[in-house]
Formats: sequence, structure tokens, C-alpha cells
Amino acid sequence: MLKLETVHSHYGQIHALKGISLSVQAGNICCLIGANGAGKSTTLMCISGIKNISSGSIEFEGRTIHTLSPEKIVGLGIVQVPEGRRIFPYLTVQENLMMGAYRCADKAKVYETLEKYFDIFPILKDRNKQMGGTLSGGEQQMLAIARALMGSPRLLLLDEPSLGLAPLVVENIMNIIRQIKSEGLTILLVEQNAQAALELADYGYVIETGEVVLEDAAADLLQNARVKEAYLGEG
Amino acid sequence: MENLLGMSSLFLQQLVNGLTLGGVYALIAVGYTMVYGVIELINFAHGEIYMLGAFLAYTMVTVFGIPFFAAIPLTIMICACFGILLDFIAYRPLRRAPRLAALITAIGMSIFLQNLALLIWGGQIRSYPRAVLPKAFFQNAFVVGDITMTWLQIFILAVTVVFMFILHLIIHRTQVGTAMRAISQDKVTSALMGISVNRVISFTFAIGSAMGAMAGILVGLYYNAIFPYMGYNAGIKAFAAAVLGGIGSVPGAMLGGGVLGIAEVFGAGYLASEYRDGISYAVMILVILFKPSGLIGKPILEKV
Ligand SMILES: Nc1ncnc2c1ncn2[C@@H]1O[C@H](COP(=O)(O)OP(=O)(O)OP(=O)(O)O)[C@@H](O)[C@H]1O
Ligand SMILES: [Mg+2]
Repeated sequence: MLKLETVHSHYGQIHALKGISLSVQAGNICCLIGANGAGKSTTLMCISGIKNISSGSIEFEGRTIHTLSPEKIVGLGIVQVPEGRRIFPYLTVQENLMMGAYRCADKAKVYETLEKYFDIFPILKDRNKQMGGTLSGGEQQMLAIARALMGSPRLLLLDEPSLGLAPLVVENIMNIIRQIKSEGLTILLVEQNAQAALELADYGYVIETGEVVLEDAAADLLQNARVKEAYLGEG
Repeated sequence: MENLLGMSSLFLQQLVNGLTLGGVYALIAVGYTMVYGVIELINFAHGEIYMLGAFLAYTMVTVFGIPFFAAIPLTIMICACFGILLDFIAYRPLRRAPRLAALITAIGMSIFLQNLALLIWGGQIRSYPRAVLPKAFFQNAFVVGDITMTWLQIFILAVTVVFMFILHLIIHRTQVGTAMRAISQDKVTSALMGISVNRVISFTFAIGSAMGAMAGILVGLYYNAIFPYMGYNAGIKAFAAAVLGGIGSVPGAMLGGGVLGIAEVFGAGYLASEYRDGISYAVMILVILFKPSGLIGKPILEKV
């Protein structure tokens, strides 16, 4: 469904991605794990068209997308939940959600989707008039996910959804991701919490300093000695 | 007793005049503040859009014989398009450049537009012949004691209130208005949501320019003096109003405009009329010194 071919990307002199190749199969959860600064977020920003790539190609369903603007990419059905949630702090919860559906012109459908996510995330319904910035970290993460889903994506990019959340909340978020997948969404999940991510995913990539160093079925990565040592705190 | 009444009616008269002026400042100030909200740029050429508004309406009425009330919407539309064009030509190419580059460009555009107006309309002060304007404008709407208010003043106040109300609805009740606020809070995330950031910025310029053009038309009428440099002074004062209210905050710009207009008229009335402009600058300096975030400014504010 999504395919990156030797993607390079730079921040000025910094060579952040050094030829990343990866692919995501439709209906799967694919995860990217790697240490701080490995280039995971940069990869997602390249896919979303925010960060430009220096060479290589990114294709979505056979179509080249690295030349498109971010809003066109969203239009194709790729939506990202950015690292750190990035809720609009001075928009209400409902306004945040409506921004997720910005490209959908059909108002009736938008409100239908809104009701759907209010059912899945009742806390958001209770808080819908409250400013986004006043929510707790866990609530903000749910809002960020619901906001992205408002755009009815087909491929969801999730950047460290467990960041800074208590274990119980992390479990809750992981369950939500599982539920989203069961509705047929394809997910590219970036995580530092390798254990949780690999338990959830079908396939995984390990990124180190801008390069893919390992890829395998998630179940096999969980057993891999190198992964165990470096990312699962065992070994 | 007699004396006291005299003083209080002077006071009320000044208040009426101050509100009229303040409304106009507020109309211009929202243009500065909205553009600042979405792209962190002080659009120094905004005063020139106001000047163009005054000239365009004047030319339509006096040269082309278009009725005054038809010239208003036409002028507003042209200036809104002009605002979009200004952003497209001058600022959009510099979106990723250091902020100082855009700021200098803004000053350059301001000077360019002043000189363009000088070329087209010449340097002398233009004024509307009375015959082309509605007669009622110059008649007193009411006289209470020593206080008088002309229909023109009422027209200015009414237009100001209506425009501010419409602006409020746009910002808070429409999709594109919400997107304006979203962009002022986080541009990258806005783009990730599929918002066409550039289109929303264009829209912001259009709205700000429309309000500025309306202000230009009103001031052209009120002082009956239209000249290429009129945007300079008004621009600085409206900018002071925006700073006073808290740059980036629309309610702040409204409040700042009102306060500044009243302060200016009172200063001129009770101190000396020469202090008129000095008061605006003094207010701006005091605010920057003691409350840089402005009257309504929280340190990081809801902006637009
Ligand atoms: N805006 C930027 N300007 C300059 N360098 C950047 C920028 N963003 C990222 N980098 C650099 O690019 C490299 C990859 O960063 P990236 O954010 O993609 O890492 P990451 O894998 O997401 O890390 P983390 O787990 O900490 O989120 C790092 O060396 C980082 O310093
Ligand atoms: Mg990251």
C-alpha cells in the first residue's frame, strides 16, 4: 500500500535519513522502532509531505506522492497523528475534531463521524466544549487519534502514541489501535515502547541513525537477540 | 453648576468623537493583528491598503460617477483581492526565509504603494465634493444640549460595529475561521489535518484588507482628506492599537482601537491638539515597556 524506496532526507547539513526503504501492506499494522534521533519522526514527516526528501521515492497505492503538498496527501487518505499529540490548545475539543475533517465537504457525514467517535471516546463528548490544552495527556492522545480519524484515513501514521503516558493508559491506547485495525485501517506505528508495539504489529522495522538495520515479522523480532538486547531491555 | 454642566457635555462630546475615531482604528488594527496571528508578520503595507481603499472609492464616485453606496462594496472587493495579491507576490516566496526578510519586504511594499498612489493620483489632497455624497451625512442626527452627532458619525459607528460582528462570526463560527485560529496555533499540524495553509492565509489577507479598505473609505469621508501618505499615520496608530490590545488578538485590537481613539481625542481636547499623534506613540511605548503582551494578551494567546 505504501512503499518507500531509498529515501534520503537532510536538515541542512544533517543527513537524517540515509536511504530508508520500507513497505506497508494493506490491512496490517507495521511498526518502526529505534532509539532517539534515529529518524522515525522524520520518516513520517516525509510521508506526510511536510519534510521534503533529497532523493528516493515514496509511493502510495502505486502513485508517487513525495512531490505532492501535505493537503493533497491527506486527500489521498494518509493522515498522521504527530509526536507529542499537538492538539490545538486554544480550540475546543469539538473544534479540534472538526479540523480533522477539514477536507470533508459533506457536513452531514462529518457530524455522523463526530457522533461515532464520541461513542468510542465518551470522555471527548463530555469535554467537547473545553479547550484542547486543558485535557490530560491521555485525553489529548485520544483526541489526537480521534481528530486524525475524523478525516476517514485509509493509512494512519502514529508517532509515539504512548509517549509520556502511564502504563494503564498506554494499554488503553494500544487497545484502541487494535480496534481501529479491526475496522480495516492500515497503520504505520512509530514507537519507543518496542514491547507494546511489536505485540500489536504484524511487521516491524528497526531504524538506527537513519538506516533500516533489521526487518522481520513482528513475532520474530520479539524473539530476535539483538532486538531483545537493545530495545526490550533483556539479554 | 453651569460650569460643571459645560464640562460634562464637553466630556460626552469628546467621548462620542473618540469612539468614532477608535472604531476606525479598530477596523484597521484587526488587519494587522490577524495577519500577525497567522504568519507572525507585521504587514507594514496594510496602511497602504487603507489608503488605496480611500482613493478607489473617491475615484469611483468622482470620476466614474458610481453612487457612493455602490462604490463601497466594489472598493472592498478590489482591496480584498489586492491583499491576496500582496501576500502572493511579496510574502509567500519568503515564507521560509528569516522573519526580518519579510519585514523589510513589507516596508518596501509600503513605500512602493505610496509612490504608486503618488503617480496615479498626484500629491495634492483630494476631497469629496459635497454634492456626490448623501446629504444626510452632514446633518445632525441629534443634538442634546451641547452634544451633537452627525449622521456620518452614526454611519461610521454602525459600520464599525457591524463589521466587527461579522468578523467575530467568521472567526468563531465558520470552518475557515477555525482554520485561521488553528494555523495561528500550529501550522505543521494544520497542514497534517489537510488544511490548505496558504489558502487560509490568503483568506486572512482578504478579510484584513477588506476591513482596512472600509476604514479608509470612512476616514476619507470623516476628515474629507485623501492623500498618498494617509496610510502612514493611520497605519502606525492602528498598529499601536493592535499592540495595546495584544498583537495577535482580535478582541484586543477592537479594545485597543477604542481606547486609543478616546485617549487621542481627550488628549487633543484637554491638553493641546498638537499632542494628538504623540499620545498614540506614548501609549505604544508605555505598553511595550510595562505590558508587552497587551491588555488582553496572555503571554501565549489564542491569537486570531
Ligand atoms: N527540525 C530539525 N532540524 C534539524 N535537525 C533535525 C530536525 N528534526 C530532526 N532533526 C535531526 O534529525 C535526526 C532524526 O530525528 P527524528 O526526530 O526523526 O528522530 P526520531 O527517531 O523521531 O527520535 P525520537 O524518538 O526522539 O522522536 C536527529 O538527529 C535530529 O537531531
Ligand atoms: Mg520522533
